Amino acid sequence: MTVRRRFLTALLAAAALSCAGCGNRAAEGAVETVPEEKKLVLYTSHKEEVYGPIVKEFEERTGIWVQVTAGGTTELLDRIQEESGKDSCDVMFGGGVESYDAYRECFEPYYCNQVDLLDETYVSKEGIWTVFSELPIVFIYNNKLVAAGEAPQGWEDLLDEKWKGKIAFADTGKSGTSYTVLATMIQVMDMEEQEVLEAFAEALDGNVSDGSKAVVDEVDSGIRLVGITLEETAKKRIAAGGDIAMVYPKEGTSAVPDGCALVKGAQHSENAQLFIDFTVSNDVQRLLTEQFCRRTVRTDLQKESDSAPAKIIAFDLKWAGEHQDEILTEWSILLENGE
Amino acid sequence: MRERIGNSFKKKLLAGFLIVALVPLIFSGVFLIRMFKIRIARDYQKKDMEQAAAIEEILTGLLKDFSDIAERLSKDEEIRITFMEKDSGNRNAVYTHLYDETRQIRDIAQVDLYSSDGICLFSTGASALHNRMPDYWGILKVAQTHQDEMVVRRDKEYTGETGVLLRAARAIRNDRDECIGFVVISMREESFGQALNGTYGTQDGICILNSFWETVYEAGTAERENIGGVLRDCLLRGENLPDTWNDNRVYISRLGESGLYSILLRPEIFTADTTRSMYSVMILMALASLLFCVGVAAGMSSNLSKPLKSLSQAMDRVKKGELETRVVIERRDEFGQLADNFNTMTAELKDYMEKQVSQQKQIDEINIAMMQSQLNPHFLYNTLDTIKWVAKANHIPELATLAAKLAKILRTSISSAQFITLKEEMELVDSYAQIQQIRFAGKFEFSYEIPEALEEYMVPKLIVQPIVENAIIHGLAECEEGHIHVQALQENGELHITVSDDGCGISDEVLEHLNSRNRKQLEGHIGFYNVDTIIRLHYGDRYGLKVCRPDEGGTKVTIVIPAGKEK
Repeated sequence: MTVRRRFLTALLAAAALSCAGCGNRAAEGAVETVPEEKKLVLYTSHKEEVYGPIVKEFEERTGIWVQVTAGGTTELLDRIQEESGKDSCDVMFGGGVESYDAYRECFEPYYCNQVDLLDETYVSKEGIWTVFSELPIVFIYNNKLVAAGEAPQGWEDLLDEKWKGKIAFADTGKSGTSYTVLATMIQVMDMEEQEVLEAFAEALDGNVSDGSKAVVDEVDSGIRLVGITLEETAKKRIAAGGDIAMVYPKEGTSAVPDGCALVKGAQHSENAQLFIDFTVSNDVQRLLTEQFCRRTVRTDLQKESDSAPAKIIAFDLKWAGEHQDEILTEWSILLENGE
Repeated sequence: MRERIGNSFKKKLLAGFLIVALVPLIFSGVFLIRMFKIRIARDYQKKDMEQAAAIEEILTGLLKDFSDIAERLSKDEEIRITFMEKDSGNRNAVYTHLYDETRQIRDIAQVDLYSSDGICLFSTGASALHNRMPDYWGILKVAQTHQDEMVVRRDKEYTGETGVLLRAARAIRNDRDECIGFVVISMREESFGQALNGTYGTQDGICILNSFWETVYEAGTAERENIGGVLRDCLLRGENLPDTWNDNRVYISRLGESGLYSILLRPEIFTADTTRSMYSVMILMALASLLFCVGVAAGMSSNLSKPLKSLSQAMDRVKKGELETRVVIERRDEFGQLADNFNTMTAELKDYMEKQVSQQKQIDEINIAMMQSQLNPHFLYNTLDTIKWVAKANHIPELATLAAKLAKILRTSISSAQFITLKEEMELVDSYAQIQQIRFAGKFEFSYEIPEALEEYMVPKLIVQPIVENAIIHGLAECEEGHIHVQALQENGELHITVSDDGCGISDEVLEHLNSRNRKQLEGHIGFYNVDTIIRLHYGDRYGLKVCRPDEGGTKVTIVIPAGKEK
């Protein structure tokens, strides 16, 4: 019996050997893997149309391979916080700079090589973040239904009885911009906080739009006559042939900057720094004004930029951050009462 | 017992069949499948590589066309002059040249001429005119720095319809080598499908990647599997590029110096599924042959065990005494022979038994006769004793001696012991001789001589007496005065007892018969024969009687038996 068993084992072994003999075909034209010093891991909350060309150009110019993970600002920042020490992400790109301050422990201070050329309003004192672009808040109106002369020119005009219920404004729960709008109004208008909110709630007459895209859509299609949105969004719709026009509030408006930051313990720290330098480089900043309808943060480009002069107030980020919960609670109560 | 034999026989047969049937089946099955796979895979791989090479050739050819056209356009005098002078008066002439040069690629690519600051001045397409491309960015910037060379980039458009396109650009330079404009060739994703039409099947996938392994174009399985992304991730993770991906073989070729790669995906011939089904077929076959083996083993074993069983049953019956038992096996093989032999054997056994029975019957008859004729020996003995005393009382000494000697002989001969000492035997012989001397009135003399050392040697009872009797009756029959002498001596571990007489001597005929032990011819010499037979039965053929006629006359008979005090 044992002999038989041994015989069988030998047979099976032979069969197994014949199995092992096949497979393994090398792919033609061997390609070398990417060395670590040519890699960069990027998290971005920008839309692809913004990060795509920049990342592409960065790759082409530096030969560094960029691994992109796109997502929401808060989602990505939470992820960076969780991953801290695991060296997964090298640089975070996009999202309001106030968010970076909130996650300051995740980032390595870094001052980009052209920091002197940047608008000093938008330079982080501790170097936590590097600003990328500024995004002013603007009014839009349907240029078929509203004559240019009649369009609201300032925050105060908006509260006029004739715009009551005709203003498109995004739900604060859906759009981060909407809170900035509220905070800006409080900072700009010569009224008490409570008064501003009450008056604006009344002007909306209980109508809020389902997100920032809906604001432009509603104004474009004539459902609402005026709207409040970011300059970038408005400019893009105008470029796409939308029936809207844009007004910079005469009392001044806020322009919350977005930025990027070097993650603490980044594995490809040098490449990350190169990328940050690249985001504020002349070419990128020029591209973002020309192609992305954004405002540059470089002082040298601001001068030659053909962007309409807007009165930008020194928006108090710190104050806005501290009063966010309080103002939003108040706002939701007022909206509910109004309905 | 029979069942067990049947079972184990069946099992052994089954095991044997299984090994013989299944092992080669499984082994050759596995081997065949593996060989088949390797062989087919190799053939297909060759075909696939040819296909990949064909695609590579088409794409490199396409890029070469682009490059040639871009070169011709950038060196076209009409175009250069128009760009140098920034004069749009010759628009038609420029368009004529542009359309002439681009004839062969116009249905798959759009060719535009851009000014040095990135404004599209001439276009073979409809919508590109007056488009603006940043000259500080992307392909135009690269084209400016590349002297006399076309550059190729993957580009993505976000305005309007989002789409990936492959752009090739070449700077138009004036005589001072300054960049005065660009030739830009744009090829949209869908045009690749057109260009590569027919080079790949519905189950294949094709993918074109740029130098950063970003997808320029993908179709078929490559699109479903997003192979570009997969390969890029592999490279970024520092892993080797896979040979196969989700049952597709991956072929990668580099497209010349363009920095582009083309990837061909071909479905795996042997997916895990096919292999599994091939093995299942093999297992089914193995099961079928297993069943077949069980069936054949059962058939064979019953074929073998049936005759064995009937033989065994027949043997049992024979054991019980049924000798007329016969086995009927209508076969011409070994079992048939066995049955024949068995039948012959039982027939012979029956004959033998019958013979035995008849012999026994005879013996029984003799015994009965003997028993009937037998008298109580004690009665004879007592009678002889009485005769002796009556003779003594009546002073007839010869009669007393006769009675006493006869009683002695009788006592020895009726004792149950088969062996007696030589001394006892000789006393018996002496008694016999004395009786015969009285009978034959002193016609002979009897003497014997035994060394003292041999007196206690054991001999079979009554082996000397018949010889002496023979000597008296035959040897000395015609003599007036004869001598009979008995002598014993030891020689080479043998005991020789010699009985010699000086009578007429044994006849040649009888001598010959004695030495040849021919019983039938020994009528009247039965004593010799019996003694010889007794000795041989006890000690074997080496021993027995030797008869000779010495030169001095008479007869000399030597009894040869092993010497010893044991029986």
